[in-house]
Amino acid sequence: MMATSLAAAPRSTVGTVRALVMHGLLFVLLMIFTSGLAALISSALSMAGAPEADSGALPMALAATVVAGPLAWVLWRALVPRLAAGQAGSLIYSIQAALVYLLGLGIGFSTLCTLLGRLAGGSTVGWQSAVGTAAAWGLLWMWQHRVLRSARLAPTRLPSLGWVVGCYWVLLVAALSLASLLRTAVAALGASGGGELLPSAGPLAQLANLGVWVLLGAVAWAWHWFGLGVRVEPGALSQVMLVAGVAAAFLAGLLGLVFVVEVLLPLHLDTFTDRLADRLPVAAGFALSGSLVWAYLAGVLGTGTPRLREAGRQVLAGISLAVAATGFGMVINALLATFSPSLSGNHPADLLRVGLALLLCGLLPWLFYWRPGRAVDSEARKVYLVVFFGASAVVALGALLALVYQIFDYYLGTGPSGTSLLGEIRAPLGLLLATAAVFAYHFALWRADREALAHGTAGPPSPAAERTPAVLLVTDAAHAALAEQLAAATGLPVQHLRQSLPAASVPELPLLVQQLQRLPQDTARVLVIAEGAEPRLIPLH
Amino acid sequence: MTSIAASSRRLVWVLAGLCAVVLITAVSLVLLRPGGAQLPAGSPQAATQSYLNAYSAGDWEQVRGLSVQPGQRACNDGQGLQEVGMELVSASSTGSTATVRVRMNMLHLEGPLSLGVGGYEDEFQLTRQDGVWKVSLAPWLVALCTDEEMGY
Repeated sequence: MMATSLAAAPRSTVGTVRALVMHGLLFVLLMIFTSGLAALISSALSMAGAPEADSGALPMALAATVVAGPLAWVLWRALVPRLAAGQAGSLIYSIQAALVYLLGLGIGFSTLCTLLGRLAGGSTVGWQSAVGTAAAWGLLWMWQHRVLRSARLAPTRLPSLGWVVGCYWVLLVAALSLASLLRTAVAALGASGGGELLPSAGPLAQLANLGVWVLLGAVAWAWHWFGLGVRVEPGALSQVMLVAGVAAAFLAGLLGLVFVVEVLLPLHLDTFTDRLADRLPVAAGFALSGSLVWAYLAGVLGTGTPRLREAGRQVLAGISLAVAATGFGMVINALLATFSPSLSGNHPADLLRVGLALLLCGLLPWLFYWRPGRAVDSEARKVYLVVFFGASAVVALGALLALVYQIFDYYLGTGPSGTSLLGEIRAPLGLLLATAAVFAYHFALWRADREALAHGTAGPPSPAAERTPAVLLVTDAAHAALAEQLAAATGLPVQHLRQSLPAASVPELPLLVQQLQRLPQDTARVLVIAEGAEPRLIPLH
Repeated sequence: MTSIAASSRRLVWVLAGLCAVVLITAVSLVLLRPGGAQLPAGSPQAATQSYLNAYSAGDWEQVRGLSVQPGQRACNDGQGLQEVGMELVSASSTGSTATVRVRMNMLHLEGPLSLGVGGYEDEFQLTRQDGVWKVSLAPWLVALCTDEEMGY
């Protein structure tokens, strides 16, 4: 037995290194071939239009295509039997396939958007290069997509890694494009016009250009989300990406809203017109685009498991609190600034306006998501509090270092002359006081939670703490809707397994729910055979 | 996962509608806005505008008539003015010379990560000849160059 395991270990190491070398080599060859092909098409198109065009890139493009292309093909043909024989389960292969997919999608898609966007904006500058790049990388993306869809050759571990990451990447591009489009539109609304000596197609061309990016981004996202099924993709990766997507969209929308409020707050009115022209378009663009993406993704998150919903709630509460605390720090900074007038730096009213906007826009969503004062399960927010203490410690350390540095700098006389100590330390002091205030609140919560857990008087279990066994429901095709009804009734993840033989009847939904509630606390998964009047439940480990 | 809750769906539609309203209003306003500045006839600004319109249309006969630059051909050989707009910043004149400051808005159509419009300020210098303002010095993008300067 010992001899067998000792012999197996080197074989496994050799196999891993071989997979790493072969897939690494394939990746490099594919990249070289595609870059060469792109340059080749671009050169051919440039020379077709203008034979005297610079053809300096042609030898390199030909070398890359002629050498890397056949070698990549030979290597792939050598890999195919191994993949079909079970090596498709290698994590290295999964990562290589996902990287090729993402690079093909990333470069091909963004170049296609650039090309069509420029055409929509009335410009044909550099179209040959864009066509070459979009065609070559698009072909690579299509080939890799076919491999990922193939039943024989697709990776069996993390098979949808490329699709999930690609889906959120195109969503990010579409959301940024929408923010940019709205920024241009709001700027055009505010512009007076009529002062142009040479009218240009400026705003319309930009709107058309960005409109193409939004449209193509939305189509590519919808194709991944609905067409490839990323929306219903099970597994931790898609759940983490969903929470990260909701958090990023929420932060973008919230900061956009902060600066809209900041521009509109009636403080220090003399620069109102400048603020309106400079900051409102960008702020409004991000507020609308971020809110739109957040509203949809938060809706999707709301249909997830209780644990996922709780994770999303805590992340959004944390972001809101960070925004509110930053605002609180800036308000303190602004108040201290009134006692230490300075010729340079921000005006106290500007600081106060931004601080109040951050405080207001952060506090309201924090109250909504955190719901202070409600009875919660202390166990469920343990991780949140630990992460929060870590982040607070980092911020406090940075602020303290800056504060002490400014004090030494002031007393040793190495800083600029004519300044006051308060004026120098007010920014880190404000941040430190704000961090201390939120830390004190969370420390009190943590102590209360610890006591409650020690005395066994923790609040009612939060949804996250409820038992969340995965349900594998077996019914025939005619009663497939029962899976969805059961998921809606219990909030548990239900996977439907279709039996080939038809069932005469299935148990009533309330009976199924009742039986699931009677399962032992430590049940991780349960197989439910729903045939006849009485369901059969088999707990699994 | 099932379809999203009705309240979330409503919020998505409201926000999408708001985006659509902003976009449609902006496009309508841009289309309805007057194309060029209405300038007093016979002023240096009006002369600059006529010069630019002729230059943009490729009417070189008229450009030469509105200019006292030594050159005969466009310095930006082969480069169109598709991606350029010019706004009037200020104009001043002293006797027979005048200066018109403009802002050159260069359009960048590179998608969401480009800044959209970048620009810089430049100036035209004009000379009054026979009671008519003529361009004596123009920004390179809309200037006239001699064959020698162009290397012909």
